[in-house]
Amino acid sequence: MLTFAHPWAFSLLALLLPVAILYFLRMRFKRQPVGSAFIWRRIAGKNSGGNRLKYRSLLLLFLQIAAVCLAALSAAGPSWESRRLLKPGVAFIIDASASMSALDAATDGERAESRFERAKRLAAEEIRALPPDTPVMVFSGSFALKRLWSGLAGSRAAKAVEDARQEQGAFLEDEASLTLQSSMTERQGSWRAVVFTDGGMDLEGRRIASAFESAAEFRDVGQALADSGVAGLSVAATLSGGTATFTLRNGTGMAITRGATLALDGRELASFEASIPPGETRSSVSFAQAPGYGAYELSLAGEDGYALNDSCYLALNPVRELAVLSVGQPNPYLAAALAYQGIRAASMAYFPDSLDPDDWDIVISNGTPPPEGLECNLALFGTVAPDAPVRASGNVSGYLDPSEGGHPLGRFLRWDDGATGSGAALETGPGVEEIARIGDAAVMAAWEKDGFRYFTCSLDLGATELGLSQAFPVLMRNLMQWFVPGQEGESAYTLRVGEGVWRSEGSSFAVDDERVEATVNGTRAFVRASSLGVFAWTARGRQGSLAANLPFGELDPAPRSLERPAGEQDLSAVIIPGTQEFARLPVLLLLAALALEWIIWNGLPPPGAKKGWRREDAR
Amino acid sequence: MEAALLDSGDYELIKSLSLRAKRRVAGFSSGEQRSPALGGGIEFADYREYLPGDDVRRIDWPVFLRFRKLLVKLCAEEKELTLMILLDSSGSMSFGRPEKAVMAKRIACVLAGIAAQGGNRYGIASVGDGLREILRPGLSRLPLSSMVREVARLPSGGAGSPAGAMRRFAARYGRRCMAVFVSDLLYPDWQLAVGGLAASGCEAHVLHVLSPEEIDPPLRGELTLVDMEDDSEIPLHADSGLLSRYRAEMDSLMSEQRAACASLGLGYSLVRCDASLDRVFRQDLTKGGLVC
Repeated sequence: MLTFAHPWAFSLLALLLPVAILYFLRMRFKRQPVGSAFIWRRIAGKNSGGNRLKYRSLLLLFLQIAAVCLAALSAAGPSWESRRLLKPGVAFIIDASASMSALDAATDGERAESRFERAKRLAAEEIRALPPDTPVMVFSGSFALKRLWSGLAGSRAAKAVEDARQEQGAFLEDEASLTLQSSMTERQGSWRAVVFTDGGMDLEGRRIASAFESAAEFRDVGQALADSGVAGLSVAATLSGGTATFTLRNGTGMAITRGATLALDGRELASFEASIPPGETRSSVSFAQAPGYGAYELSLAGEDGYALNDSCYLALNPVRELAVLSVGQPNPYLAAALAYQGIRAASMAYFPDSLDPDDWDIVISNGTPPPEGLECNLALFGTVAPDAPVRASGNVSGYLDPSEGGHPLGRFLRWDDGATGSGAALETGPGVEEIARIGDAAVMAAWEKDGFRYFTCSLDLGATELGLSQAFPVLMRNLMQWFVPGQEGESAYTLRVGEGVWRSEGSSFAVDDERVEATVNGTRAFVRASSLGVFAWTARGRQGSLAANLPFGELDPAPRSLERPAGEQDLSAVIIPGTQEFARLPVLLLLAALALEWIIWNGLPPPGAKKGWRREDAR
Repeated sequence: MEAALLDSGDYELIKSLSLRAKRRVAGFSSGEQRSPALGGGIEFADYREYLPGDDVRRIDWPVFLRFRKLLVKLCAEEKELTLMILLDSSGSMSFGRPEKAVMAKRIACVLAGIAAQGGNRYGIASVGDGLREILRPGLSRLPLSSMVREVARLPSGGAGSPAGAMRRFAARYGRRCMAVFVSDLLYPDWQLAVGGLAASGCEAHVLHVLSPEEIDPPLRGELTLVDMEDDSEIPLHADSGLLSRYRAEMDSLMSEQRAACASLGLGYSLVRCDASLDRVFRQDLTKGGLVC
């Protein structure tokens, strides 16, 4: 059905009247006296003659009428409304978490296949059995769900299942449901889900079912498995060397013994026979040398149906000192806050002209404004940076109150000890979060820009009681953690597969392994491993180890049934309205009509046509 | 109109120029031009043997001392030139800005003035549909202002081409004058007109007068062209292609006319009706050999 956005544009058709008038006026050709027409008669040919010119004028009239009509049509904003019938679709979700790699015992006549392979096979069979006009989507993944197919059922959809890859993370339903809902919104219509899983979803399938309004069926692909594994490795120094502590898990129902090896950076530290009673047991092993920095690996010998939990890892790295630069007049409160282990503090009277953000984790100034364009983690007291998205306006004084918002800098901050101060009221721009207020005016604010973090407090530490308040050390600790996250001890680089963390090692942080995602933003890096194991990282002349273990929920491969009756949902076909705008087509036709009219009116210049007076005139 | 044909500069022009005839012409009385008749002039022309009764003062004695022969000197008699100015009065001469007819009249007046100043005689006739003598060459000469007035009153317009009038001109003035034909040659039988002029036996000169609008018409769009000679009409669409063909055709016609005049032994000069008389006479006609 044709509809128009601006029907009033058809009033342009009134221009047809002057077009018609001009046509009739033009038909009375302008009379032009010439001295003698005998040359004109010789060359006029097809350009002369009343009838030919009349036909030409009629053609021009038609083109002008068409141009007016097309202009009115395009200005009216035409669009074509249509409707299409959309059948209910089926979204196949294949759990690719670590536990799906388990090789369940083969039944008679079947070859042993992993749960993941069985899930893919079953999903492909179901897809092929669907009517060919059924909309189908195929998803697979663990901590990040990927869409492998979006289209109609058929052999191509079934083949897309083969692109699913086994992963080693945990199936995170929150992330998965976002991907699923986005896809369903994009495809429109109603959808039901068929989920192939061994029950290892972190929310037991509730979020997935909710995403499909309970129209989700769960297919159990896991079977009971006799498995044992190890996890939770830690090391400590002893008088005679070191000891490694770990958790052994035995799901076989009987006590078993498995050989185990402890290694540091590939060098064996200890090899032993581990007796594993049924259930979970915390155990340890001693080794001769003192525990050093590096990557520890504890592995159980032999193979069972689930190999991924037969090893666990630990990365120990020296905790580096935070490099903190104080600029401006010395302040005792700042000096006290920075005088503890783990911080290398330096001071300057003025800001340098240029500053390498990799040299300093934090730059703090009390009262000295920084130069414009300074890029580093910056904390200012009693001053505002000239190019900051906050402006000082007016003066306020009184008691400090925390701002609402839940910013990490406000964590555990309590200003109820009567802390007072006076300073400029801060006008905050977009992207700036308030941390503390005096009355209705913000006096502390924080923001991020281009990977760096900035904090401004309009209260001068030397002229207010801020430094004396009990909240000030908490504020300084929050600042350290916010500016430089990840300084949580020697095992800060021991992660879980799929777990993303922020670490502060400078802009040159890198992991040379495609199984680890390391995205640098400013001096911080977002790190996430997609596989078990140990990896090496480098940064600012330092190097260290990174370890990735199985997520907690994937340590025990025992299947859990998530089958539940699918909720009653109306999955009837829906009619999807569509609108196709085509204002562009009339515009193109209008331009073509105008161009054709111009050509007919003026004619195309013949090749080699001479212009201007000729040689006769020059004599 | 009569008073505007010539201005003071034009009169200065008349004084500074003189006619230039390539051939000896037969005239009626003494004038500036050389006559073919040998007689009592002062310019030596030839010798003949002494016959009893000849004037002994005409014997060339140095020749006798040298060759011991009595020879008598003969001198050319200077005769008067008759200039006939033929003005095309067809309708097409009314075209142009200024009108070609106006330029033709102005040229005629100046030429007549130059002729009169040199002691020569002149006549002015219009050639259109027939020959009409406005001013005959006679023994009495009109004052210049009267001549200009007469010329200014000459009407123009009407159908017909000068071709027929040329025959009458040849019959009346053939071989006995110098003729200057001022025309735009924009008629189909222009060759007959030019040929008729050449056949008259006069030393003839063609002044081809055209307007810039005829050379490069500023026309555009749908028009009905009206022929000023016969009021016939041609509706046409003047686009760039047509104008280009017109210019090419005009070029070709002008070249053909120039070549035809040259082949017939006629002088030829192209004159734009918007040019100044000074340029016309000092450049175009001087280059063309009509005046000096």
